[in-house]
Amino acid sequence: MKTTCEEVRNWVPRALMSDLAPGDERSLNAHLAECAACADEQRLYVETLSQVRSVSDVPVPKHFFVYPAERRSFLMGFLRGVTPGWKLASSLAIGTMAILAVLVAARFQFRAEQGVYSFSFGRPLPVATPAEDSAVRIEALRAELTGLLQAMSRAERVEWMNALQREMKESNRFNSRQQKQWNAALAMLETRLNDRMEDNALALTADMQRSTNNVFRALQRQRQQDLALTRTRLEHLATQGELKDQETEQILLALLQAARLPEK
Amino acid sequence: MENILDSALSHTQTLTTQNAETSQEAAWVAASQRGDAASFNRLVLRWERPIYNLSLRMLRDADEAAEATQEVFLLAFKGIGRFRLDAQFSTWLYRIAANHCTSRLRKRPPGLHLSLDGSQEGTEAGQSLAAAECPEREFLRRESDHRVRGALEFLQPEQRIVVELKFFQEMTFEQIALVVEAPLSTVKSRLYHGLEILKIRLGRGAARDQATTGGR
Repeated sequence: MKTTCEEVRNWVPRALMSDLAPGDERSLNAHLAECAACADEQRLYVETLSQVRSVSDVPVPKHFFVYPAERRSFLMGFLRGVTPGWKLASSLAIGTMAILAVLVAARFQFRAEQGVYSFSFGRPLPVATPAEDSAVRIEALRAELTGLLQAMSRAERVEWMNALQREMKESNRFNSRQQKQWNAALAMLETRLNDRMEDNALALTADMQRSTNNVFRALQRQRQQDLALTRTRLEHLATQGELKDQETEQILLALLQAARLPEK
Repeated sequence: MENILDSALSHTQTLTTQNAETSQEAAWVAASQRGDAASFNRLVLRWERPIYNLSLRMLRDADEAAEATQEVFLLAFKGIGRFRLDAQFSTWLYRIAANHCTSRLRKRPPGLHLSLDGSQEGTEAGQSLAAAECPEREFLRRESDHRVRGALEFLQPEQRIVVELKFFQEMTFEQIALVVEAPLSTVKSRLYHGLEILKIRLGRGAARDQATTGGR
């Protein structure tokens, strides 16, 4: 394969950096031996590298020692290294972020009561209701009532007891009225359900009867058709039998005639 | 036969010296990690010349290069605790320097090109002596240096650092890839593009100079 000048010009710096495959390097050298323009290109690269490599280091103007005090924090280093404008801007940004953080912390609420932890951000926490213990409540009510009764005079106690009994009777009456209403509703519901079930049963029976009649009618029609078909076939067979009988009779007659001929 | 033996002996001696330097450097790094500033300053003495020259060629301003070098060592001093002892200190230091100089170059306003002041060079006694011994050669050397540094100005910061590490710090492609934290193919591509620009800036100039000198 012929090597092109374009390829060679890409290979020249790579060859000078010892970064070319041996096969490509052989092709490059062969091309350079023939092509003056590419050889000139290589010469330019060689001269450039020679110039670059000839640059010598200069001595340091001073020593660059560091001191332990210079090992300060990143923030201080940053603030010392930036211009006053940036210093002001970053201070303002840090201050704003701190205020925002305080505001956020102020809106955050936390409560731990009787092993229940509640968190809220922004909204107020719901008022905690203590867990109700009915047994404890009834005992407390009984104790309170006993205390009240002991504190009352006999007449007051009797009057209070009567009032309480009236309340209980009224409550019982109300309860029995409620009970009756519920019973009536239940009975009505039951009656409606029974009626609905009876209606359904009747409808079902009528449907079944109609279906049976239909099936019976269909069967009957089928049977009549089959009978008609059988009759037609039998008639056909009978006709064929008659025809065959006539043929047989004619043949026999013919045979008889033939048997009688020599007597003549 | 004697030549071969001498060469092998010399090579062994070089390797032994290099190993001793590396272990000494590792000891200084370990001490620096424990907060020993004196050990870190020994590392500074060892590496200040290459880092300063890298900064100078990258930034082309002696004052800025000195400032950048000081900052590089300060950054290294602050971050030495994060340096892993199984890595190479030079690679880590060059990475800091390369990033710092590239960052400084990017922050420069477009169109601003600072020239290296000639007075920055030749102030040292050794150079003055060399100049006194052969002033013409010294003048030509300075001219060539100046031209090369001027040509480097035309490279992108990413190309410039790769050229710097390859030709002036004499690193392999693999070492450069570690320093600039880029794939090997990217490193090579940057170098060859950079070389092409340098060839255009320096190759023709050199040819013209030669023609001019020959014409006289």
